[in-house]
Amino acid sequence: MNVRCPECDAEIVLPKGSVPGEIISCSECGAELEIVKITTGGAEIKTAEIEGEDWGE
Amino acid sequence: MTKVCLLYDRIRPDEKLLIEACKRKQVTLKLVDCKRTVFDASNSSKPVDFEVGIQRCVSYLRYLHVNAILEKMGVKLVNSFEVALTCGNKLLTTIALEKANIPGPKTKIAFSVDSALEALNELGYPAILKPLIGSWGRLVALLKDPKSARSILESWDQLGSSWYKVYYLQQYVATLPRDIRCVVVGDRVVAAIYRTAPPDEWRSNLSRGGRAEKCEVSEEINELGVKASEAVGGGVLGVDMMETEDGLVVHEVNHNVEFRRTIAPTGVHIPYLIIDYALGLAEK
Repeated sequence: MNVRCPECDAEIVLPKGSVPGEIISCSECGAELEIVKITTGGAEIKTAEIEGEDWGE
Repeated sequence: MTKVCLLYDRIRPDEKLLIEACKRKQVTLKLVDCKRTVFDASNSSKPVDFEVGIQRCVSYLRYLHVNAILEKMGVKLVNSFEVALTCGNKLLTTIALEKANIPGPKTKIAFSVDSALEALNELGYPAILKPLIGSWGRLVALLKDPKSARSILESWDQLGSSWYKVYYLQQYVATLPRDIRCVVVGDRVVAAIYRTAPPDEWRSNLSRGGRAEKCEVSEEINELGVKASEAVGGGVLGVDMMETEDGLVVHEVNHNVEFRRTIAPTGVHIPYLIIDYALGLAEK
């Protein structure tokens, strides 16, 4: 399944087994992108959230 | 068939391993992206489509607030609101560990730069400054002397967030450039690794380039790890220990333990154990 990078418009092939919430990188511009939704018709991605001060393990 | 819900705000390799483990164990899994879900705080009815939740939000605030609502509905969670509340805040963790007589580095809290410098004079140098919340070594600073300490504390004062106006100061006790990460599942340490800092770094966090190697789970490590886990309420936890001249000390307990880099060195398939633990919780 292919999507377009929202930062540089490059074509990105989603890895097999991708799930919403997963982070991928655009090989063209290096942007960190989050998979928002995957349907039979296609996928939606957006620029990933920047690490927050309350993030951790 | 027991239904498990994976609550998340980002799918890391750890969450993918949990998803895969559920598939292999034929456990029905519901995925809930907490960022994109509305939670009804007024509703007290138990959800019908899952029996137990594995909470994996990387955001401490999301983790806590989602858990508060789900627990009100009667959902059992790995880990609970109380456990996360304690572990997500380093001072609350220190207090819980102290209450249980678990050895840890001497710690002081101050609320201004001058008070922090006073606290550091009592602790001695070098000392460590940590944010109350957060992980992965973010903003953790080694304070070598009063001059560098003042510069770092004053920089923190300019960061804007109220969290950085609470100075959590700890004695530097490590005798080796490494610590021990124990993964506790329920009543035992299931795996442990040494995390060794890279040559140009003093922090041993794996996210900072630390190297992971198997650490044999001795009786002492298991006992201390389980005791630390119980002190904060128990569950699936990452207990971090340091080797000091006076023996092992616990410096952190993590409520949302990242386990993927513990699997290869130890050969322990931790996701399976987490799923089993969650299923056991659902049956209680």
